[in-house]
Amino acid sequence: MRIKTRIIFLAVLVLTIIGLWLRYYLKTSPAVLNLGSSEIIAVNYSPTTDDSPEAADAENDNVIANSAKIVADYQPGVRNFYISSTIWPQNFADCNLFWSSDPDHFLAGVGTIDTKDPLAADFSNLFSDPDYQKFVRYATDQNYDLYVSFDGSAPINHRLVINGGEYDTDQSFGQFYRLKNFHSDSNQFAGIKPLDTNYKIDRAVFVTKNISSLNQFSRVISDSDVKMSVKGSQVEIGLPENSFAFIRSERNLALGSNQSKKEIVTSGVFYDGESWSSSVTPTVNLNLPHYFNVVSHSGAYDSTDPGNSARSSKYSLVSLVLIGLGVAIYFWSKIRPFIINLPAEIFNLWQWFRLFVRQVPAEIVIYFSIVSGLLVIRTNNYFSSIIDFPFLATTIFLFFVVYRRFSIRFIATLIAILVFAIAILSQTDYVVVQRNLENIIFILLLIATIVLIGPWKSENKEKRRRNGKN
Amino acid sequence: MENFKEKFLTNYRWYFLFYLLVSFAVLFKLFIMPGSISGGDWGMPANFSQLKVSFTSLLSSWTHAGQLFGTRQLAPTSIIFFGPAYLLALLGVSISLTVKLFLLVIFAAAAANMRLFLGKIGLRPIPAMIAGLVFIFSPIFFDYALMGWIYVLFALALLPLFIYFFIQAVDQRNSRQAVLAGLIFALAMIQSQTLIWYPLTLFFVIIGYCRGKELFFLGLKYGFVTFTTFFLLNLYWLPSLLLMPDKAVTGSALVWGADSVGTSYRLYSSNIIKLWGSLFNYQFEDSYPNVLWPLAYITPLLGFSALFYWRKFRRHLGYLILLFLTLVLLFSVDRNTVAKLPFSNLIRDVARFTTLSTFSLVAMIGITLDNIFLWRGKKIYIAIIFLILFLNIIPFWTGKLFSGNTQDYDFRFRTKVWPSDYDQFDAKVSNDKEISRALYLPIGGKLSLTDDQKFSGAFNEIADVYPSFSSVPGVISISSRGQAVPSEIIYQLTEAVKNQDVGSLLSLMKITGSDLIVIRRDMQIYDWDTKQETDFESKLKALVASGKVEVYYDSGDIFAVKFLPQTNLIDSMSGPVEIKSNFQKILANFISDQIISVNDFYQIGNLINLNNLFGDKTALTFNYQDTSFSKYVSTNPRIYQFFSLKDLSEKIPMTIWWLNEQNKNKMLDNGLREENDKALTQLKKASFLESNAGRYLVYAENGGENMTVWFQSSSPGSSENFKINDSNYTLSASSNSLKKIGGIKLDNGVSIFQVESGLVPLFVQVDEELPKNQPPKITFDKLSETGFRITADNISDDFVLNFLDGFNYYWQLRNSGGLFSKPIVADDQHFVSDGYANGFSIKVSDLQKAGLIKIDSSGKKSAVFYLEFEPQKFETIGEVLSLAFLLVIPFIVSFRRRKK
Repeated sequence: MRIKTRIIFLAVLVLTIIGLWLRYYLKTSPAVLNLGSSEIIAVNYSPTTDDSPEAADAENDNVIANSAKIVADYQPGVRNFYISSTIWPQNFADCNLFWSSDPDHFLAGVGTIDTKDPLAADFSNLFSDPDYQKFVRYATDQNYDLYVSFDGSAPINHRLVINGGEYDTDQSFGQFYRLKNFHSDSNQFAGIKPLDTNYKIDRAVFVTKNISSLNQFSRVISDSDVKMSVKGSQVEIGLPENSFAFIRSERNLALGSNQSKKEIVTSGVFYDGESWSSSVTPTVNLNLPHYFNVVSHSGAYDSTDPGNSARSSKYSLVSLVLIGLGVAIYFWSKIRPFIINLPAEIFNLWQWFRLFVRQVPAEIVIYFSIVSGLLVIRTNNYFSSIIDFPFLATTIFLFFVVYRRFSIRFIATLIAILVFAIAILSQTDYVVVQRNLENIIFILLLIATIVLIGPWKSENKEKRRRNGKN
Repeated sequence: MENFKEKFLTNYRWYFLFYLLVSFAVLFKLFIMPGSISGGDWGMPANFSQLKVSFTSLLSSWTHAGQLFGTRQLAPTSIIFFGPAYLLALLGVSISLTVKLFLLVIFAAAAANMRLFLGKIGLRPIPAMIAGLVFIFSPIFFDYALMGWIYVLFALALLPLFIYFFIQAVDQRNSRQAVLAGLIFALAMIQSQTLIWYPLTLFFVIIGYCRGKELFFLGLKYGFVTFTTFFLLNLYWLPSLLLMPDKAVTGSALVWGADSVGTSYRLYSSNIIKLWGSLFNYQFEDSYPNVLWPLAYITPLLGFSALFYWRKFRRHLGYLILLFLTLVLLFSVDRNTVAKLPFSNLIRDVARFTTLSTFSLVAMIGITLDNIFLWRGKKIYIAIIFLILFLNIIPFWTGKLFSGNTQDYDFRFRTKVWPSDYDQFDAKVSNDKEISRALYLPIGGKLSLTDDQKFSGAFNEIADVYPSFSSVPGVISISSRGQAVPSEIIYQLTEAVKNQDVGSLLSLMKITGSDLIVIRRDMQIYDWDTKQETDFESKLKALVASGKVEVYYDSGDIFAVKFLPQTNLIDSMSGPVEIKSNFQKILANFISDQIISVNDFYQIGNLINLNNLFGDKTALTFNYQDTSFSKYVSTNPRIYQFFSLKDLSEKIPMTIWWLNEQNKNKMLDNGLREENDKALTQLKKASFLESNAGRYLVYAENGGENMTVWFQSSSPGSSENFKINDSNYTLSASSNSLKKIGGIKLDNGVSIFQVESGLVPLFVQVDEELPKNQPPKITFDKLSETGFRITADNISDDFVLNFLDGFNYYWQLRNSGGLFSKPIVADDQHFVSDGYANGFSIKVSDLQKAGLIKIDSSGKKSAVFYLEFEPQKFETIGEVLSLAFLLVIPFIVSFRRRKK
């Protein structure tokens, strides 16, 4: 390719990249925010799954969907609301749900309790009755409605025991039984069981309106009370003292601030009650998470568009490909012979491999037999836990190193390749593989160090040989 | 021009200046922010008087700085900073500016020393210069500067210089350089972990660099010289610590401390190779854009690529990789193993070994860069590498040191200007001879301010500097290091304040000899709301009317009351009355004390009741504290304490929950998990959840015929029933909530009490008789922080001398104030009194034997003796010797040179 042609190509590429990013910025629209008046529902539950993020997400979705159904019964007049289980936005929520859990998950989920605190007695009371099936931690001095469902068939009298007291329920809707106006007194914890303990409680949830003891801020819903000025991605918000505003946007923007304690940004789901008629079971679109912006202090906020990061990645990728193309064009003279010689290179590699096999067949047979042996033993359950992936991988790497007679350059190459692999893996979810590769790097470094520090004698011999004395 | 370029690149002064300018560009905002750097672990004095207190406190081995009841100054190495800072302050430079300048100089010196070291090992000037920049723009400098761990950074900044001098010594066969290496080591000792880091480095350098038999022994020889220099320069604290050891250094408790375990929370292999990660130190990671994450691997890639050039750098790569792998090794072994290592309390925070890995990886990056500069005609690659290196330090040049926090615990540089009320109050207290001790609320040493958003809420707290560095001690710091002996009394004080129990608080103030209680109105006390805060203040004001207290200060943000009458810090008492719990024996019937510690059941819980019963002129001593901290052995117990089964049954589900909570963390250390699982198995076997209400156990040794049992009753007006081992007893009505019943017979061993609700058994008194002897009158002169001259008049019988500083085994009564004085009370007569203080049981015969008793014309006996903190003797001698050696060093170095 001639120089002129190359320059023209490169110029076009540079212009394309500039144009691309110009388009990116022009297409970025300024933040549009408005005051939300929909209810905020906070859901609190102890997760029961710790297998994988996917399972945790599925459980969260399930809890949210069930909570939405409960709220539809608890507050039939409310048609639209935001519902979230991420960070407790309970200080600001119009309605709070506390899902109970079984003893193990409850114990694992309770926050720190000072063992000398009067609360501790309340806590240990829970365990005074071994028959309690569900436990919950909720707000004190609140009126709750309790919804309970049972495993299999429900007991005939539907009576419940909560913290030692007996209560009647009525059938409310679906499989849920309801207990109205239960008061929590000064207890932070509750244990629940059916009066007839042959039955098992499946789910139990305490529902309450906003928590009076936490309610320090009043909500602002009128546009005239809130000053909002937007400059690009910067939003200046002015609020009256001791009040909070619920700010949302069609584009799902999240607000952030340099100063902590100014805002709570959390994500949840918007429950659009208008889209279903009362005869249809309510549903929520769990695939459409929303950002809640609950702002309780005046000040400057940055808005971030979650859609933007995907967009910028897309633009970056295209730019990277274009830059790669540019580099290829610039170094065309050097790349061309390589491409032309590629078949020959591959053939050479094959030849090298054949030679390698022919030169040290015994060693290769030994390595392969050891690795195959390990693989066979691994089929046994007991050994599979000992001979895990890093063990196998390390063994194989070690063989490579042994074969190259501990050549430091070889080890360095392996490490460099592994670091590259890790850099790529760090963008994915293959955390376990990544960690194993990192451990292999550490082992290779150790081998390299042993070789470097190595015995002094051989070095002296080498020196002598180099000096021609030997 | 060429000459200037040459000078700039190779002359230490010039490139130090260059790095100083670069560091200033990054940190300049600090210099325009008013006030002193605060938050995180930053807790430097805020003004000259505070600086003076902290400086002088470093000269003695017992200090009240940061601890109301005093604590041993184990290693006053921060004198390395406070000494020069004090001198500067005398010249008029404010301490807040000195701290900022210190940080700036650390940055510049770190880079310049790295440049010097890399130059020494054969790198060309430009790559060495760039490596210097890579060093100070590494995550550790970003995070630790924000956290306030500047001593760690100082030790890290000196590490390249240390190796430089040592290698010079070996290369030039020159002991003077080894002496300089020792001097650097001694300077770096400002950070206690240097005691592990530097010797380890020296060891690795010897085995890596000194190849061959001859060189190896030469390395050992210069290593010895380095160590000797270090030892001589540290005579001011090292001998006293070695000869009079302390658990804080020799133990392994810190390895298990919650915040030590916590610091490794984000330490995993990928963070180790990127030089990231540690609990509260991940501001750098948070500021690093996700999209650039793969670029962070440029650090290990360039670093490990140094192996390609092993032929030229073989002798250096060996020790550099070993330094890098030290962190990996400590990370991969579990805490059980770490705890077994010598000086494990110094290893403590594994994540801090990032200092070693950062140094080694950056040095290796330098080696790679040096060789990359040799690539001819491939300048584009070099440019790309520099672009990535530049992007890799993005948090520095986007100003994230000062803004951009997303969570509470992810804080950035903040400064604080304190209100003038604080200075006025401090001046008043310091000049008041009558005030010797004050209790500042809230307790804990860390404050959440209500009028400053920057320092409000969890993780945003600011250090309580005013009472920490006041000439009147006033702060109780709470940390994972524990409070040693006073921890139980601190707990009682905290509870009294938390429950707003002003009556108990008053008694505790008297027991602890505190004259003032100080409320700062701009600070959050526990989770109190405004009403609770004003309630507490009004409760204190109500006491004024009763004549028990008087308002001492009430202006602006500060409100203080003074307690009347005052307690003497040193006084005589009768007794001691020995109080025995035998909780360990009782607990052993149920569960291993490895899982639920005897310490969880506060032995001094009914201190106030006992104090009322025996009067405040009787010394009380609790056996479990004595067996843990002193050599005193209880021989004549007068009180037995009750063990509540309900307390135990509350502890068990809570311990189960806590262990489960820890186990939930998938990154939990394996050793800890194993321990937790063992404990869980044991706890689940134990069953206490039935019939424990109202059940109390007491263990009376040898039993007794005529014992008195004391109760706290919520219905004093009526008679109440209780059972001892199934026999019924009736407690008659009383005028106050304290009830007692005499003539009770208890057998040897455990007796079970079953009481009705509202009735709490307090303790069993062996006999009705109270100690009667009349203690002598005590006057004392404070000679220093560590020495008192005491005069006892009217000695009629044996007595107890009570000294209201926190118990320490090394406080001793001596016959004279001289260097060669002799103890007058045996070690086994020194006990923990009133749950925290020093009690000495003095026999008249002891005083006579020492020839101290004087009898005047009227036949009254008196004696003069001394109370001294023993480690101070070694320190005073050591301070003189260290200083002398420091002055000699320049002569050692220059004298030989002239001769040459």
